[in-house]
Formats: sequence, C-alpha cells, structure tokens
Amino acid sequence: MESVNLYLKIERSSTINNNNLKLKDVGNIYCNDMDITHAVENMTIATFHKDLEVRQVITVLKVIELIQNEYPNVTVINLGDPEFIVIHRNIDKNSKKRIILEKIKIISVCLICFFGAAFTIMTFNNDVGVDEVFSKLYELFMDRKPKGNTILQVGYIAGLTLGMLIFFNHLSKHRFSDEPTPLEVEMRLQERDVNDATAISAGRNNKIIDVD
Amino acid sequence: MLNQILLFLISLVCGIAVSGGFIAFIILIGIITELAGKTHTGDKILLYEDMIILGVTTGNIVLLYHLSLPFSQVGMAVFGVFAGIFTGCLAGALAEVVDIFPILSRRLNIHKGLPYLITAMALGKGFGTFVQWFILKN
Repeated sequence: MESVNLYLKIERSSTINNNNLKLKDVGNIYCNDMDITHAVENMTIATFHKDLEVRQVITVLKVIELIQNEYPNVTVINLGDPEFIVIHRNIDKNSKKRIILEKIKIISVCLICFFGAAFTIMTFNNDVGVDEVFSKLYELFMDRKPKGNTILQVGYIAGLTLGMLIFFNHLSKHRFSDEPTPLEVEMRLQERDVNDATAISAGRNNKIIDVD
Repeated sequence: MLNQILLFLISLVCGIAVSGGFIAFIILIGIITELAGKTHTGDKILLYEDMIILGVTTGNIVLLYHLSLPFSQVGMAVFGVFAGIFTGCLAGALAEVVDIFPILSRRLNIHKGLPYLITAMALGKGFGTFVQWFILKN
C-alpha cells in the first residue's frame, strides 16, 4: 500500500470545555485522504474528569503514536511544537455569576491602572522637581518669576497625553495603525513564557502525557 | 509672545519624553500584562491602556494645578487602596524583572519555600511602610 503523508499543526495552548479531547479541538490536520483526515480529527487524545480544572501537557509523540496505531501506513509530519498544552475548564461561560465576576475583575484592574498611574506620575513629578525646573525655565525665558501656573504646565500636560497616545498607538478603540500595541505584544510574549514554563515543569514532574 | 510659544513647545516635548519613559517602564515591568493575565481578561488590554492614559493625565493635572478634589475620606480611601495595590505590584514586578528570586534561590540553594520568601517580602513592605509613617514620624 502506498504511504500517505499527514500534516499536523497543533496550537501551543488551547482551552477546551468538553471532557473528551478531540484532535480538531486543538489543531489542524491536512491529509490527501479525506477519510483519514476526518477520522483523525475526531480521534480522542485524552479524557478529563468532569469538574476538574487541569492544565495538561501532551507531547506530539503521543498523538503520532495514536495515529500510527490506527493507520500504520500514514506518515505524520509535525509542523508545530513538540508538545502542547490543554487547559480543561468545565465552566459555563454565560452563567450570570461568571459574567458579574468578570465585570468586577475588569473594573478592579481599571481602577488599579487609573489610580496607580495617577499616583506614580505625581510621585515622579514630585521626585524630579518638575515644578522647580519649570519655574527656572520660566525665569530664563521671561526674565521674571512665574505667578502660579504658566504655559509650561499646559504644554507638559498636553505633551504627556499626546506621547502616551502615540506610544500606545490608540485612542480608545480607534487605532492610528493596525500594528499591535506594545502592551498586546508584551501580552503575547508573556503567554509564550507561561506556556514554555508549564511545558518544562510538567516534563520535570512527569505530569506529561507521553509515549511509554 | 514668541517666548511663550517657545516655552509651550519645550514643555510639550518634555511631556512626550516623560510619557515615553513612563510607558517603557510600565511595559518592561509587565505589571498590566500580569494583572490582565491573572484575571483572565487579556482581551480588555486596550481598556487598561486607556485607563493608564487617563490616570496619568488626571494625576498630572491635579498635581500641577493643585486642584481641590471634594471627595473627602472615602475618596482618599479609594485612592489609597488602589494606588497601594499598584505600587505593590510595581515593587513585586520590579523584583521579578531583575530576577532577584531565581538568583537568590540558586545562590543559596533554596528550591522549596519560595512562596514563603515572597510572602515575607510582601509583609515586610507593609510593615516597613507602617513603621515609616506611624512610628518614625511620631
């Protein structure tokens, strides 16, 4: 029989809701033979306990073994990472309690960001003595001492806000360019680090699903 | 008039430079990504960015113009709690960025009990602030 190539691309990490982990939940498969593609897509790789929230690391080797057990003449070519992470969370995404909880979380983080940013900029301005520098600058330019606030403060505030908008690359939902913002980039980097750390520590503690 | 315009331009550029530094620091230290990750609200990151911008602008205006904020004790408590959380996160994130804990655990060969170390540090920060404000000042 002629050998068939099967290309496998599994996402680095994915969250699933049902108890039986099917291959199509976590990645894409390409194969010339439609029957094999369909069968492999619906192959169960692992089963989870119903109410348990787990973060499971599975190696692609295990998946290849499962496929080869069913179809010995298929050559599996892995296009992704050697292992992948499945987060099993059996929760109702639309339950009222969850939505309210999420709203509370978002509001809290917003408040922390808002007051935290306000506080840190105040301490910064105080620390470096912005007021003194401004009054010196004013004297240099105008040859007299400033009375209260001057044009410098106005410019500083405008510049601060403008600079933030430029660096963060958006004004609320309106973006200046379609590039991801620096925070979005950082978010993805952190996600990658967390995935790597999860895979490594699972490997060290033998909590990985691998070929025997 | 020309002087005024020049002053305005200088301060505008100053503001942009400071905000650049502020954002670079906040992003490098990973505090917002950490908060969003912990609360599983990564999709709201744009909203958090808006809040940072809003917060910096408000704080700046309030400080420079000595605005009066008629929110009394409750307002101060709200401000204190959230500004405190932020500063705490900042201190923790700073320690994390410079790899204090991995280096310490390697040097001293501590492989267990790191959570206790971190708890001790957090309690120490609280205690230190308490001593500074309530004991040393009296």
